Amino acid sequence: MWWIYRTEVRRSALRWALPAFVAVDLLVLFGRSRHWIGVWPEASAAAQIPAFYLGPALAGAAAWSAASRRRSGVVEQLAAAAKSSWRVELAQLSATLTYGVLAYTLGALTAAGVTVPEAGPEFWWPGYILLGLALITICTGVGHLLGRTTKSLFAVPVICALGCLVFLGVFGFAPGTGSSGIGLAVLSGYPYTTVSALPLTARLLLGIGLIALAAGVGSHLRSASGRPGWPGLPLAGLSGVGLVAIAVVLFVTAGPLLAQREVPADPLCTHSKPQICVWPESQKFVPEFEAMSARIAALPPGLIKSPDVFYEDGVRGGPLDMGRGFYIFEGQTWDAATSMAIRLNEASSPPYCDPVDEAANDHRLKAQLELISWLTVRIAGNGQPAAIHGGPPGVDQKAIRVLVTRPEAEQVAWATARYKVVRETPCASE
Amino acid sequence: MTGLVQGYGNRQVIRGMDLALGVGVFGLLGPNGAGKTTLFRTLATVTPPHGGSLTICGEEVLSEASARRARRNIGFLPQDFAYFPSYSVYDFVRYCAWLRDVPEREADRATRLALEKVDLADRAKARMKSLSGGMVRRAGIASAIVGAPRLLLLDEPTVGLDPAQRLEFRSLIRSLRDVAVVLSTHLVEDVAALCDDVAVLTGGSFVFRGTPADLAGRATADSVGDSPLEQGYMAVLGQDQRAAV
Amino acid sequence: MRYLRLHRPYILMGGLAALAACQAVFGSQAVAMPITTGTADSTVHLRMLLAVASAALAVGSLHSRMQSFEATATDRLRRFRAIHLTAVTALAVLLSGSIELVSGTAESATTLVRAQLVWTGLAILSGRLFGWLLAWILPLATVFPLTYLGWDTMNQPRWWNWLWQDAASPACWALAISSLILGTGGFLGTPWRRYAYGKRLTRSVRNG
Repeated sequence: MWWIYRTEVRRSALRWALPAFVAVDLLVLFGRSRHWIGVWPEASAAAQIPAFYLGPALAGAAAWSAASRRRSGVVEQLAAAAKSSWRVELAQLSATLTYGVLAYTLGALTAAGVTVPEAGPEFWWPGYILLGLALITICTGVGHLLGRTTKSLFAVPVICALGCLVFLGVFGFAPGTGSSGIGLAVLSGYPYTTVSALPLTARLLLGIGLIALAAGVGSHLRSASGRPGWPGLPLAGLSGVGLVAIAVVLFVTAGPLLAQREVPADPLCTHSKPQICVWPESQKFVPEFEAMSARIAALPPGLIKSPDVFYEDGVRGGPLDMGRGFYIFEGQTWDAATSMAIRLNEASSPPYCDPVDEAANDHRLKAQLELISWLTVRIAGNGQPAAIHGGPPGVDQKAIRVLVTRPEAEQVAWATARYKVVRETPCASE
Repeated sequence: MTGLVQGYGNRQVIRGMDLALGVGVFGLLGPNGAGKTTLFRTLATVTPPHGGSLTICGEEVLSEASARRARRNIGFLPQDFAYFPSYSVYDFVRYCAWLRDVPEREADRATRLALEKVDLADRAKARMKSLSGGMVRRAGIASAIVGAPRLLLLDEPTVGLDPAQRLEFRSLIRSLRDVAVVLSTHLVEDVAALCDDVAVLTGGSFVFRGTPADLAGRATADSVGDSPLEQGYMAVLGQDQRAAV
Repeated sequence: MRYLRLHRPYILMGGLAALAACQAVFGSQAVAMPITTGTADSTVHLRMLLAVASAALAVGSLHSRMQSFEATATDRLRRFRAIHLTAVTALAVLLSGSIELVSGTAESATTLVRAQLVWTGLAILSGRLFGWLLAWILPLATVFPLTYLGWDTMNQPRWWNWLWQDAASPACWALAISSLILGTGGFLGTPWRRYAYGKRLTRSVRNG
């Protein structure tokens, strides 16, 4: 079997497509921003993204390979083979899968290689990598299965490639990553989430099941139509069906793909006060947070009150959507600065009350948004990154950028005026 | 085979045929549509018969599993065989050895031996798609004989071979030992040169069984043909057609 | 008629009809794609992906089971093939454009037509390079750079991103025209013409 597999790999037409697969993988890795370098969960998730494109490409390629074998007319010889049909199919299917997995693995190894010098602890996160592998396997299995049913070198490869792409785009992403779907791909790997073992196993099993189904089902698919086959239990086909059935049940019952991680035993915290504590994986951002902590400490003390500690999302547990922490979005600490600005503003403002009318509410809201924008710029220090556009509604960002260059006294006066608006907003309960 | 019935759907192509083969060369003649290829496919266990029984090298073939076991002893060269164009000659024959379950440790030697026998050893690395028609046919023969099968089914094996290559083919068949060869051909000279027994198949039944000499003896004064064997063949066919009328 | 029968028009018509039906019913379905910059994913409407298939199908209909005979044909076949290609391309473009005009806006219909023209040119080139049955390779290959690399750091579509640039974008129309010219060149570039052109080129290089 090993010799046959090697021959199939050596002779497959897909060897010409391998450079293109590798190019796509590396372009996806490095074409997207390189924020993931140095953060293992992000690196792992980034290395998984190419599967979004490699999967559909492999589906089309597998369909084309399977159909072209039937087209080459070897059906008769294969029908007279002593080897069981699933071995014959598996040899070819494995060769097709090899090219996809090879390109994907090269990308994953490259991602690991560039991350190692800068990265924190917890070397490599296999969960996302295996998720991408599952996706590639699922798509290849589907493509081969459909390709076996036809001699068409046009319709089925196109349908498989585009069909997989559309399916992934509409249903494929994991819920909680900005879209809703069945969790075959993710766009990012924040340190506070991890891939759960059971759902991942379900996806891997589905991939294996589809491979088994594609190789095992219908030995009669090899035969010319209209002729009956020998009686006997199609064990290989039944095994494939069984595996897929188990995988589907597990898929449905295993729960969501992503789960919140447990609180880290040793979060990384800045030395300066207020402390900013992050996941150990976010080690590379600590120098930046040290500077941000110093900038917070430099804010007008009488005017701005600061919590003692700021936490990255998930570091101290609890639900993630309660605004209790900050997150680092694609290597940018701007959103972290905004979250901290909101916390600072909350701490510096009087307790919330319902305003007496809409006008009062709007007035207060505008003042608060301006304060938050000002605080964000002060904390971030470098101004708004080019990739992040706009800001809170109704706030003149340009004016804020000018403001932070003005003398401290002028800024304090400006902020004091706005806090006055907040304090003096008439409440409905008064 | 005992009482073999074979067909497609409701159409019967072979009706109640008995055939016992031993070591030697068995020739099969017949007009187009007589059922020769159907018989070959049945002997090769590609399709189960509609009726009767089939035993290959002591193994009664009743199911997919027993069919696959039987195929280890069968070398089959279809009339229109195909190949993977990107394969080399060696790859092609070695692949067929793998299909026939030739043990891995013997497959390489068996492949090289088969290629030597058909005089393609020096073209082992050539791609199949680069071969001439005759060479492709010889590669096909190599794929059928690789691993020394005990039953060799050759459907029109000499199509595309030049006269010198046909002589080599005959020499190859004669050199095979302990093999039952079933040879279907339109070339009566091949039958005359090679076959111990010959049968004429028409309308799904044998209308003649015997030696080539017996077949030649069936010729009459007004039989058409350029050789005694051809005349005998035409005579047998003619008698069959008159009997049908 | 024999030419038509050989090229199985029922498959082409059936395929275009199926694609048109999908476009009419599901054309607005958003298909999320990961993009290169900043803010999560972008979406491409399904009708754009269907346009890829439509362009490839139209060009792929040039395939014939009697290719080895057609390779030795005279001018008559070449004329038929030119008419065939023009007609099926026009039909595919008109069909997608009309459906989009009815279900969408004139602007979206124009963008769709432009995209389909780009893919048609690429499909012809792909068919010439790899065979008419593989006319889908180059068009399908553009989906990746368009959806993943087609945005700059300011979240604006790049000048060549014919999916998202305005309907009136001159650069994208230039791309469409260039693609059609390349495709036409590929279609007209028969082996003998390429051979003759190569000889002329070599002679002119030698003569300085």
